Amino acid sequence: MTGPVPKKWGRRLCRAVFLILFALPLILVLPEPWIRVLPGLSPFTALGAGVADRGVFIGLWLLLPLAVAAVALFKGRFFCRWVCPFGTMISLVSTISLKRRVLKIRLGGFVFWFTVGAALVGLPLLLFLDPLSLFTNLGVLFRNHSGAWAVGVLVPLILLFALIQPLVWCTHVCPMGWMMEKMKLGKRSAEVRNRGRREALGGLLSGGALAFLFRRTVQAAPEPVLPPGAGSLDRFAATCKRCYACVRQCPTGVLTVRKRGGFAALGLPEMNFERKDGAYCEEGCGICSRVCPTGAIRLQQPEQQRMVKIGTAEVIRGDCLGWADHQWCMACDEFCPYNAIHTVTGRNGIPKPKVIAALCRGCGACQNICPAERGKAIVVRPVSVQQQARDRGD
Amino acid sequence: MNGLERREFIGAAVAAGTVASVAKAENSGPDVWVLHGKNKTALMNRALEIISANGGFGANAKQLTLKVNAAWDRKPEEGANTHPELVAAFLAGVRKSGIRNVLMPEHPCHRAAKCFATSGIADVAKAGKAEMIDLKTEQESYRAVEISGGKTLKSAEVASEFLDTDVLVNMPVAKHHGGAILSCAMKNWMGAIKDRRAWHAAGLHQCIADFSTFIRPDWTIIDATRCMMDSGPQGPAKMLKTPDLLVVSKDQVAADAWVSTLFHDSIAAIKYLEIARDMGIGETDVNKMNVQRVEVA
Repeated sequence: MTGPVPKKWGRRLCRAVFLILFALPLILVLPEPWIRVLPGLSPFTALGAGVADRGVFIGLWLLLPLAVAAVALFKGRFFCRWVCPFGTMISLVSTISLKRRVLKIRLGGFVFWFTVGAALVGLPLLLFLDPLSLFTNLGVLFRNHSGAWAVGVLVPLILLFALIQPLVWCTHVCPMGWMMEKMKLGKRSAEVRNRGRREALGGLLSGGALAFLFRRTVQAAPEPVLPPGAGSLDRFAATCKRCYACVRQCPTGVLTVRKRGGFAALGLPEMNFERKDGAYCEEGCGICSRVCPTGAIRLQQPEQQRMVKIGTAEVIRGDCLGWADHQWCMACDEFCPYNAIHTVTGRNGIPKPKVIAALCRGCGACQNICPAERGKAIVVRPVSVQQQARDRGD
Repeated sequence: MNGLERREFIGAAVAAGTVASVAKAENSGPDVWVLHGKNKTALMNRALEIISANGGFGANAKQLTLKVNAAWDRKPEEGANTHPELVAAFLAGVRKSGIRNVLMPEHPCHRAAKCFATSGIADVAKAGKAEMIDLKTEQESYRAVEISGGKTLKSAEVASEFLDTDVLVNMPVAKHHGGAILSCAMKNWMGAIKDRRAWHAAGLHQCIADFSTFIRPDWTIIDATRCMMDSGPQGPAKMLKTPDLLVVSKDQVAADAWVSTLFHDSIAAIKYLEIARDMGIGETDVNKMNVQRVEVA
């Protein structure tokens, strides 16, 4: 008689605890592992990013999605019902839902196979529909990263939809929920198997075809400067699931969300050296690479990160206080951590900056500090493929 | 004063085995004490003795604001920041003199958490019970002031801790600087203001000199224990010299001018010192200073 009641409350308590645990890093600055755990739990994005990148980084962090997947083998949607904080939010809203059945077809299977098909071509396209990264999105939406709304707008939309049709995201759209439901071992009827086959075939083919088309649009203009470890725009666009753990955790605030670009590069994290005072890529930091759950920003030890070349600074002489206005400035040289600014002194004795491209890493300290009044007179241009820069001294 | 004479002096002092030889010069100009020794704590203790014997920090001083250079995420041995051992000895000495409240505000160039930790200064400030203030994030204390003696710089937003204090001490590190040529006492005040970009945009040297007409520390103690001779202000320097000197004066312009002789043949190389001379902000002629050399064992 009293049996089911404690169980119901036990589950509510469990969901509340997880909701709080995972919501805290969105509000406070907490240790790096805490930031990474939630977006790192998703087997859906581990699969999508892994297939797109043709490999996964074998490490302890891989145990998270594997554990979630292993539980799903026996318990199906256990994660959805006990852990998922996004699901908990949707459940809360659903309690006051209008209970109208608007969306009748279940899209989860199609979304899942579409993503896998697209990943096989090298651009998963829909990784951002991962419920865990949709949830962590909330951590940057109200922090002056307007680009994050490109994906983040889905969150209020999904919640609004739940007001009409309860739990509609979880039951009808969520690719991760569908994946775990289908992973559960056991017999299935012939009808279910046939529908599954149709979904898989349709999703794989359309995803593959669209990814093939969209790969061209990755070449976005102007090209973004990417965080150290992203590799190249192609690779980064394919493996980043827009969870924005890196943006949330970047200590100088240089990482933000891209506002422009085609669909494939939409909502991608990028460097903006003019966002605020002191926004540049700090020497020996590597925090973004340590919180990235999909390996889109490859793990960088501090010494590696210090020398990853993400761009090259370029002096725009027409705007430069030294070159154009004969003003004694040299702020870029003062702030360059790599001694990559060479001082040219002309006949008038006024020093002017020149970039030694081989020493420049593209950290953007110069662009951030440049006080030129007509607009930044030194700007970082991205490299197409990130490599190790040469160390100073010779 | 050229390098050869200094070396002769140091050599003679060591040979004589004097603990503290004070050579009085016959000059009416500002006093500049030049302390030489390998032991940084002993150097600072001696500097505090000299300060105490020459008026100290004033009879009723309760609060002291110290401007160190902790602007860079660089280690003590690299010479980009004031050496923490000097800061530690200073804080210990100040507490003995009865001043209980010491503030150390700094507007760093790199992120404060990293600068303060890597420089080793956060640790010694904590041990010395002084409060370090990160002026990059804490912006409430800035106050607009008029620079009435300024030529280009007519106003600045200065952290009020530097303005509302009983005693003001400037403790910079002497080093090469790309834009300013030499970074020392006068340049160090850029870490006390809010908008350093404005100084670069308006003309760095004139602004440095202009601000020195306004801010007048009670004492200036320059760390020239190790000096980056190039690649400043961050380094790493190709040539790092170890003059093992501490330069003390009430006149920060005089202190800078004396230290500049370690780097250059004449102050003509350093625009803001030339401007300071022309504007009469302080003594820039080392021959007119009352330079007193002290050997500290």
